[in-house]
Amino acid sequence: MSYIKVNKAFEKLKKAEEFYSPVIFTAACGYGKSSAVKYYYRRKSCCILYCKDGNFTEMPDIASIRASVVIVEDMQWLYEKDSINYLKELLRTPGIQVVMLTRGEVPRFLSAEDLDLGFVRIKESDLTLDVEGVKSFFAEHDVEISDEDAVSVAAASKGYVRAVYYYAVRMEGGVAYSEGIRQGVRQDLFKYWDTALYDMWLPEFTDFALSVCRYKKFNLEMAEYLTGNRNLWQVIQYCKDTMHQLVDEGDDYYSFRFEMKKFYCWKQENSWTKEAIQDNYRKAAHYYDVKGDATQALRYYDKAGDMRGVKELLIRNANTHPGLGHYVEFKDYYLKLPREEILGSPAIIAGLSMLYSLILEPEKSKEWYNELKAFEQNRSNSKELRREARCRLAYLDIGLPHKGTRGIIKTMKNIFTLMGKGDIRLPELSATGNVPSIMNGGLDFSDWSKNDTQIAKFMSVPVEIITGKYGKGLVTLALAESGFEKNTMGKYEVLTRCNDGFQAAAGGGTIEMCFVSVGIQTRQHVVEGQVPSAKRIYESFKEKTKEENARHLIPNIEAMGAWLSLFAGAGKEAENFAQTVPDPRVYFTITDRYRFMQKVRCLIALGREQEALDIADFLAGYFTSYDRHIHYIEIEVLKSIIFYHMGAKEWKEHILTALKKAQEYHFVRLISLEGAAILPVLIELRAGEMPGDIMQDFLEEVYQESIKVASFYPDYLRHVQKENVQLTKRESQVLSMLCAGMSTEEICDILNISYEGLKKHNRGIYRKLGAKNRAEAERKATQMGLVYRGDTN
Amino acid sequence: MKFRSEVKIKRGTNLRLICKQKEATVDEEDYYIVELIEEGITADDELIARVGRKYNEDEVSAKLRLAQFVEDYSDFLAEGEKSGVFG
Repeated sequence: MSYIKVNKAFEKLKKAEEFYSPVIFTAACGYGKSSAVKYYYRRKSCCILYCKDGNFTEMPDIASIRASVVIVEDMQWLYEKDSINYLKELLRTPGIQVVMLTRGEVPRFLSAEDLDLGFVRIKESDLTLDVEGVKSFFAEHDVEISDEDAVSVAAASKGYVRAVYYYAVRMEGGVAYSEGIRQGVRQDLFKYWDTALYDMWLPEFTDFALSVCRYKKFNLEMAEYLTGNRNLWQVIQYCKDTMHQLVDEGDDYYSFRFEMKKFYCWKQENSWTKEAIQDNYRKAAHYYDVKGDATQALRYYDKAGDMRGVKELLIRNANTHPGLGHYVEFKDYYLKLPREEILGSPAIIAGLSMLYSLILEPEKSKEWYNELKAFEQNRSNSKELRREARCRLAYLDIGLPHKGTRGIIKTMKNIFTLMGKGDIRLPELSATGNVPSIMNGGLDFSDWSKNDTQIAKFMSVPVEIITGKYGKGLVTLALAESGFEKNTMGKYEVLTRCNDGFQAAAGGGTIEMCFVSVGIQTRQHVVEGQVPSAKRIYESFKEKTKEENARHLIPNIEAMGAWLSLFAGAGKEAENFAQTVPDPRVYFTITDRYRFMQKVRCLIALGREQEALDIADFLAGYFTSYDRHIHYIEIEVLKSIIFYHMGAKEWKEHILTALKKAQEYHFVRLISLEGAAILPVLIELRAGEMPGDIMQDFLEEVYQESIKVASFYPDYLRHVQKENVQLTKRESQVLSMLCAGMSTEEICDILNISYEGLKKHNRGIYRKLGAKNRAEAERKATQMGLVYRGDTN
Repeated sequence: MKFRSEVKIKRGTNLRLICKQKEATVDEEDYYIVELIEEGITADDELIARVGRKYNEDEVSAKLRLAQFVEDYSDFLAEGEKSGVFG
């Protein structure tokens, strides 16, 4: 049977031969290293040296070697000093080309030689068989294969020669490629590695491999924890030196390459007891738990069958607020618990109530709330558990999203009384819901905005006592936001309060409250036409989030970034953002509402009005049923913009709805911040007949503010269809030159046209782009991607 | 804390607040606060102290009671005055 030549490897060998450069093959077992070398040098006199247990099996006198090529097989087993020195001497002997074969990487002891002599490296990718290679291999084995199957085999085997061999064996007699064949080849490979290689590896290595194989990635600490081996760094080094199995995942994490991972899982199933496997899962769960990775911890507690671990983690999760906790992600785990386990734990009952509220199932949330109430009233439950139930009820009374703010002050009064008696301690609270707003945060506090200063005077101390660190900065930020939205507070006061709130939150409060401050500040800067200032604050806060590892804020920070980008017109950022946020009709949790709102804006800006409308309709239902007045006003404004863009008369109904609601609170900025997008709507509304229940003063104020914002950002949420712009060839040329900053004289000169001729082309360009002047034409052309700045071709 | 200048207080079988198109029936437990405001007790500290004494409540509970009053009858109350600079 002849060897199937692999061109890439042979080209490198040829180059190495020209300059007598040493060659090193770094590839796992089964890639055909030895076959490639034997075939290539078949007509040359070669001396083959073998390595075992750290040494060469023989070390002939170098001066007596007549061969021009010395092949070193299994160099991964070389580690003794004398043999290493012998190899180094060999490498530096003129007239001898050394070809080294190893399953590991270039050994550290040859680093200097590698640098000095310039090793030619032949890697696994140079030895893989492509589709033609697979066909030749099959032909050589007298096995027929169709072109289509050759492609499948090449892809499934990734060109790994030993795998291709097993495919040839299994497809003998004209058997077509199938999933069953693929699984069969996988088993063949496992058995081969098991019998030919496994026992050659150090026991410490195989123990390590079997201990970590079930996990996506691991670091040294995790591997030590799972194996109990404190010298695992030596094992990892051994693995790097002698084999090609580890993948460096970065940040000191590793994983096993996919095929080996599967092999070790198979080996584990066949050699470990069920108890040993579960113990491994339990250790991993505990490791993740200690590291604060609740999702992974829960997954592996579940796999370990450790219901106690699952339950304890779910209870701990129920102590975190929805912004940090994993209610929705853990839903299946909550529901998997036996009912008697759930009903015996106030924390878990409360967790379920919160979960259902978050996923828009208020009725189910109420059912669990009532279970908790029944638990608290049931005297056969212990005093401690009933006390815990009281705490949980108080927490749900404040925190359940579907309850809104109805009766919240009475609730806070009860809580304060219970706290005074030492009867309760609340779990973690979040007033912000991870969004950059406090009035529209965890709950909608727009009703308090009507008399914000007076309420703040009475509520600041109680809020401080009840919310503790979670409320630091809350009151001053709430006043700032209320004043901003109503346009009743000057810029200086808004920003000063934001600064005070940020400092209070940063010093002993929470980063979530800092985000609120950032949200208000950016909006204040935006209405003043200062998007660069807004972006600076935003970028600075992004850095703070990274430093404090506040990963739970990242999705909404990215949403804010997408929103800020819209003021320059729709671009890549808006497009990417719209792609990354899922459709809320498919996957919804109220903690993502801020992202969904920005997605609607991005879709409007991208001209995808129907998609925007579908999502807006869905969200409107949630906003109505959960008393989210601010979001409701926002969504009605956006719907009016969408319908206006679509040329549908429904725009009027939605803007009137928004205005009627907004005027209850005097929320001017909720509408005017939509600037250039809402201005045409307002202009047309004012031109027609106004219903009597819209206050003229309020409408006028909104209108004037909208004009101001629109003047700063004329391209906000505006979409111009690129396909509708048909420029002539000459117009395209002129437009490119305009965008490149060329003067009129230069353009006329280059294109050899008169000034009048240029004016005519300009008029055509402006008309087609809907622009009034050169600057606007340039801006629109760039926005639409018609030209790149500086293009003069 | 005080009522808006245009608010009228009507007494009959119950106590009602009327302001332009809006009207609200006052809860019995809030009568005392309405009376205090009618008497001219509008300073917040004084209101807190009096309410606390009347209902035998500490300062925080009294503040919460007054906050509830503001929430319930916000349409009839004047905007609060800021105390000092950004108070």
